[in-house]
Amino acid sequence: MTAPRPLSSLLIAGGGPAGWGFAALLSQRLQGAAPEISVMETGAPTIPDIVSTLPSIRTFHAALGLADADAIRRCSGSFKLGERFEDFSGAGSSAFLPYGEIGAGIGPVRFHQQLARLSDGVSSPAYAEYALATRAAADNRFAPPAKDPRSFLSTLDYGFHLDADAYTTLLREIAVRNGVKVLHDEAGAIDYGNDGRIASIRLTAGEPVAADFFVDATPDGRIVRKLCSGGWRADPPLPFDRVACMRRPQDGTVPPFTTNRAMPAGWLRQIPLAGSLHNKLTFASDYLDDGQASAMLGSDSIDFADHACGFRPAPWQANCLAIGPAAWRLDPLAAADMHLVASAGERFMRLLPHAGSSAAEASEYNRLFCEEIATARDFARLFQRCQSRGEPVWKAARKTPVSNELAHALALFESRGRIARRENLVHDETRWIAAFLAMGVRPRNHDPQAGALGRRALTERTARIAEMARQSAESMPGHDRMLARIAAGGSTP
Amino acid sequence: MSDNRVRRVLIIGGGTAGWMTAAALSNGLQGLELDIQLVESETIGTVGVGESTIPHIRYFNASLGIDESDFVRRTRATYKLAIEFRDWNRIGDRYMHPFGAFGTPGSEIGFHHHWTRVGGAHRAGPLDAFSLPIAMARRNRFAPPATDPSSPLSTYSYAYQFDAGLYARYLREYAETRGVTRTEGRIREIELQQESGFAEAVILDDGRRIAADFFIDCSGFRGLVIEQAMQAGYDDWSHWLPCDRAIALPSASTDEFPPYTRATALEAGWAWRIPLQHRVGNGHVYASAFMDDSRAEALLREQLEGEPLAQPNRLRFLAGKRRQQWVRNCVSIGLSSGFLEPLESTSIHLIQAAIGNLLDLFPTGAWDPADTAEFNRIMDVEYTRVRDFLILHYKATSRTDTEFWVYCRNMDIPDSLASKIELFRERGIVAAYEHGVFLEPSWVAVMIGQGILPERTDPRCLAYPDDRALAAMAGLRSDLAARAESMPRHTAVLDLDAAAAAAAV
Ligand SMILES: Cc1cc2nc3c(=O)[nH]c(=O)nc-3n(C[C@H](O)[C@H](O)[C@H](O)COP(=O)(O)OP(=O)(O)OC[C@H]3O[C@@H](n4cnc5c(N)ncnc54)[C@H](O)[C@@H]3O)c2cc1C
Repeated sequence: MTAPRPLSSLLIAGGGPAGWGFAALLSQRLQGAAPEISVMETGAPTIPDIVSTLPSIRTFHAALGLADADAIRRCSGSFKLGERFEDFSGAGSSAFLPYGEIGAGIGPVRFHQQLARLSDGVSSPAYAEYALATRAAADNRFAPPAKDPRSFLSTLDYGFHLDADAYTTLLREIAVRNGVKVLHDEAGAIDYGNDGRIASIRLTAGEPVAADFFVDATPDGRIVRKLCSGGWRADPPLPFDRVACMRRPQDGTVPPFTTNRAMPAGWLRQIPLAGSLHNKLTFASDYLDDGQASAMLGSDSIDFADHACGFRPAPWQANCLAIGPAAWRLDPLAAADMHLVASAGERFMRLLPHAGSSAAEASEYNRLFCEEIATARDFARLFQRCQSRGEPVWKAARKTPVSNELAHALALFESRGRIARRENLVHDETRWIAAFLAMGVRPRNHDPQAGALGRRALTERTARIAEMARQSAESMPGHDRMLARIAAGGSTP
Repeated sequence: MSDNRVRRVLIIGGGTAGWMTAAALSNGLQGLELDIQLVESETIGTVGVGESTIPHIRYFNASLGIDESDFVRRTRATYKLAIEFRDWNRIGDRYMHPFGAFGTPGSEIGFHHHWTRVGGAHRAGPLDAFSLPIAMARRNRFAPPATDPSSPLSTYSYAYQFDAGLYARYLREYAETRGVTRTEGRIREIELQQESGFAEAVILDDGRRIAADFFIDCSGFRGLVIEQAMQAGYDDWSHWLPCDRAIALPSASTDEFPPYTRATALEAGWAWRIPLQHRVGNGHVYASAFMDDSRAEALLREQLEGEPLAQPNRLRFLAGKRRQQWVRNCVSIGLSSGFLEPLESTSIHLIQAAIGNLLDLFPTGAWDPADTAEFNRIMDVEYTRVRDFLILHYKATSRTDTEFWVYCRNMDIPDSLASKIELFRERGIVAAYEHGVFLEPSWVAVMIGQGILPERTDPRCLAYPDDRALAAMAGLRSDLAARAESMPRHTAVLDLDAAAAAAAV
């Protein structure tokens, strides 16, 4: 047996946040064992887009050595303490889904079970109100969490809102600094080796670029699609099949959270950047046409696109791995795109293939990818499934079939407020609890173990946590001030 | 909150499962003011085996607030660092499955990749040489792991080998102190509600009736409520795990107290040796389709290292799992919920896992099907993952000396295991999961121990040239040996425990 040869070259086709994020991570982390990495990008102008992340982005940035202040400064960014939901449980309803910890468990008894015990079935004071992120967001405040775990300020966590183009440029810089090469061109025809693997990809002029391994980070999956089977698994379609995006300059306070507002024929997602507000309206074309959508957004310069979700159950085919839109399209409510890019990178490095066959690596990668993406998909679906608006389109959204896993998770939560055990969660258990509660799902029973807790002591304890959240939030500076400090060249403390 | 809250809990059976459950409920659900009763029958008795454990048992004991020295003394326990497997791949082979990872802990690339790449056993020496708990076990040494996570002495774990009867007695005392009432008697009948099929009461031989809201079936193999009354059904796994009988025969202690359990493959099954303080537990697990009882007993007697101390205890079983471990108001825990042979000492762990899930999903009184579905789903995953790990031991063999081993070599295995083996063979990958007893180091130990060697390894290993890697391995090997050598003898630690417990009285 000849010794398998390590990868000597890796070609990433597609220069968006997925392609460059993947390139930056690999080039940073694989030092010593890194193949030569090239990224093929078209440089074509892109429509303004946004990156609204989960807190896990912090781990990704730490791996890249990217400081918060740089990300914020370079990408007109803002901090994100969670997401607000307005009008999802009927007009006037509002709920916040915070990042970080919410209250504190007592032994095996989760915090929301303690609250349920106190209210004994009656609607409890909102769970999310006990989170520092909720209180800080309500007052537009922000400070990075304390490192000392004894401080209440350590319970905070956050993600970012970043301009997608600027973010891509930043990731590109990191990758190029690490030696990643840039090809300005577009992926064309594919040359196959006699083993069904990709030998090279043609540039526009017909010139072949050979590599041992290819990453398809193109918007349409043009490479992976041509390889055998696996296909695309479309989610059961929701009525919301179109998106309209528009960015509007905006002065004044920059809120440290994303807002989602439900409307009669869709929902509007508003993501604050420094100096502008990015609007993304996801709507049902059966109920609202593009013209009406433009009118609603009050602008003529709107980018429209069709919207459908799904994923590729086998994104790793032969010597090609699809990431980003080539491998998945998630509902924006999942906010998981960069999370998945980082996790694709980590998983790829753990399963780093050789230049020859990589069937074992591919099958393990694909198995874990399917588990992970399904949890993100189901998390986003939860909102459509559990909202309680009365319009026909929202009723139809409620009736759209969901996975067995989500159906079980909902039934178990409704029964006793418990989150069904599942592996490779993208959104942690606290986020699932908060999301169900934010959508107005009320468990019929609480965890009997909570019944063993003394009511008086519990009342005092939860009141104390609420008070600490309030006081700690008040001690934090305004989000605007924090952004101004960063803009002026400062770093976060 | 529904007002048909569960108040009366009846545990059926006083074996290890029954008393572990009674102890955990009486402690963990104190504030619920439950009325917990336990019925057991001395005439029926318990299986009387089940003495070797895995490290999770320590968390169980700790959750009950049990003092370790006291426990070790009262259950005549010894410490356990590993299981030694003899003659599994080939006659004459031996390897250990330790409670800890190989190589230097915390490195991103699994040690088995480096080890395989430099040439495996031929050039680096056996994988066993790169594990501290194995180095300790081979030298009959024991010391508890360090608590500082940066110390190499913190990277292993340990379990116990104990007298199951004494453990049950210990927990009985614990549970009775916390209000559990025990009834001696033989259950004759289970009363079910006509329409709902829910259990209502049990009737004893002498006519006494004990009613309850919730029934925990710990009645052993017979599955008194879960099967006989609730007809949960049974998934038969015996085509993958054909052993269906056992003979247990304790013998007198020898001079040494090895801190590990031994599993020696025989003609149509395998024999265990579990050293306790006051005796050695021995047994032979075999497949009756391939061996008769008298041959089985003869082979077991050959294995004994000391005088037999009792008459042989004969047992029959069927590998598999209750199709639904929780049905209506009855949950099964222990042998009533299924049986996986003791090759990796997992039964008591499965009891513990079931208890943990029961506490998490303790009935609200509403009997929502989602709750039972969640319990059953979680336990299914636990059972199938252990099952696959056990089947691996039989499948990965080169033995052809008996019909039994030829059968095992050639048998079909579950897809989940087949792909797991394939991934390891092809590229040294251990398919990852988050929930399940056996994590990567365990799979590595058994795969490599039984001759499944990766054809390719992690290419990141290439950053370390061969000679440097070999030198580092030689250094690690002697370092681990020296560390083990400097630890106290296992016997000495046991004496200390006895002294500490005596002093505390
Ligand atoms: C050969 C063998 C070796 C094993 N080795 C290990 C090992 O090394 N490690 C490990 O973890 N596990 C091992 N096990 C498994 C372990 O023994 C069991 O998991 C453990 O003992 C629990 O048994 P149990 O309590 O479920 O059942 P049992 O011990 O059978 O208890 C059943 C109880 O139910 C009562 N009962 C039954 N019917 C009635 C009735 N009609 N009325 C009243 N009471 C009734 C009985 O009196 C008894 O108290 C082994 C098992 C076998 C068969």
